[in-house]
Amino acid sequence: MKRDINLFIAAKQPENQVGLNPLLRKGLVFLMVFYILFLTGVFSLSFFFSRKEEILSAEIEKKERQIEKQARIETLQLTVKSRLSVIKDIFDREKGKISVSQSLERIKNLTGDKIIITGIELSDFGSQANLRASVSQVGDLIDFFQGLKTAKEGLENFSLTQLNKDEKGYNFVLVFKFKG
Amino acid sequence: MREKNNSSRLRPYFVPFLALVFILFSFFTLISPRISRIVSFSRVIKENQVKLAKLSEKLALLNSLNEPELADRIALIFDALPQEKQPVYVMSLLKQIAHESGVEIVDLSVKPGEIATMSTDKQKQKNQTPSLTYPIKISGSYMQIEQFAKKMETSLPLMRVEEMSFGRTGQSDLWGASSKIAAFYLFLPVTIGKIDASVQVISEEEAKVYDLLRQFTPAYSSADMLQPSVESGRSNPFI
Repeated sequence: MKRDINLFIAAKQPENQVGLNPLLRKGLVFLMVFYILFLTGVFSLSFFFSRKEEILSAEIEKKERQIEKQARIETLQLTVKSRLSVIKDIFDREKGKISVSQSLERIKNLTGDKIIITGIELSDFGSQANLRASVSQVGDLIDFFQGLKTAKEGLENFSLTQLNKDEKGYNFVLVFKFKG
Repeated sequence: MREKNNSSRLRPYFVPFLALVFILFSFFTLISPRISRIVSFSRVIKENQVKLAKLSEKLALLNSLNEPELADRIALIFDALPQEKQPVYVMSLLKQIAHESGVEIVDLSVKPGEIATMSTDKQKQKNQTPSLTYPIKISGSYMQIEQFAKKMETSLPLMRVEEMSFGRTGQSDLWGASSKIAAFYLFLPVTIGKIDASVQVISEEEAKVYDLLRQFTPAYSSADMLQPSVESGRSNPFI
């Protein structure tokens, strides 16, 4: 029994140990444990990410299928939206301008009964009007021009481009510019 | 004897050596590809999360849309801006407006050119809404011509007078007008929206435009135009 104890003590002595330095051995064990844990962690993480990606892809597919079922509504919405924006552009181009019918109404109100309109040319929608007209009395002509100065018909400006007199009266050409 | 001594001295290092070889080998064969997979997965996951969020948002928006209301809207919008030139329809519409206004159409012509489907006729001027011009000559009183212009401006499809000149014919109260009327049309889009593209919401201004369109008067409904009314002389006994 005593001999066994001596042998055990002798084996515990560093100079009698067989194999690696204990510190190195511990380091190696630690490294292996750490490495195995690291390996497990990497594999788990990889699995986790792969699973998450699968779930997300499935979710996306599901949503896409649901959206595909709503394709009719989407097409309707897209068509309504695109066409409304084009119609809005058409209306926007007319902003600040007046239409032909509005222009005709304003000309009628501006000229009254005494001015005889012989011709009208409308351009820029109805915002610009070249008016050919005649009047028999000079007094009516003066009143007409006086009236134009105080007109409330959205008249931006006007210019008399031609005026001549013949046996019937005074013929003139006026350019009206209306604002919307 | 010496060799045996050397091998017994190296034997303790054999296991650590094997462990190191295993670590290095497994790192390059197992860990490295896994790490690159994790990196690529995380990138894909981020992209998919963004995509999923967009799709969810789109789906919620689509679910909130009212299909019958959209169908109603589209009927009016197609009346306003047809998908084809429709020269026959526009000419009959102008004829009807003239009849209602009391003016007489002296001359009405159109050069529709190629009436092609959208697949063959590409929209060349993207910034400009395509339109077909109808030169028209009418005669009537000043009021009637004004009424004609007013009705035409508030009728669907959208039409605008490009230019107009008119004058009295002789000493009478009869006026002759020569005009160019542009009727707008727009092809259907060549491509429908992508599945992950967001749904475009109708803006407030566009909603106002729609409200404005509702005040316009379509002379005929599109359905009437598409169905020829031919008397067959037979009636359905089940109706």
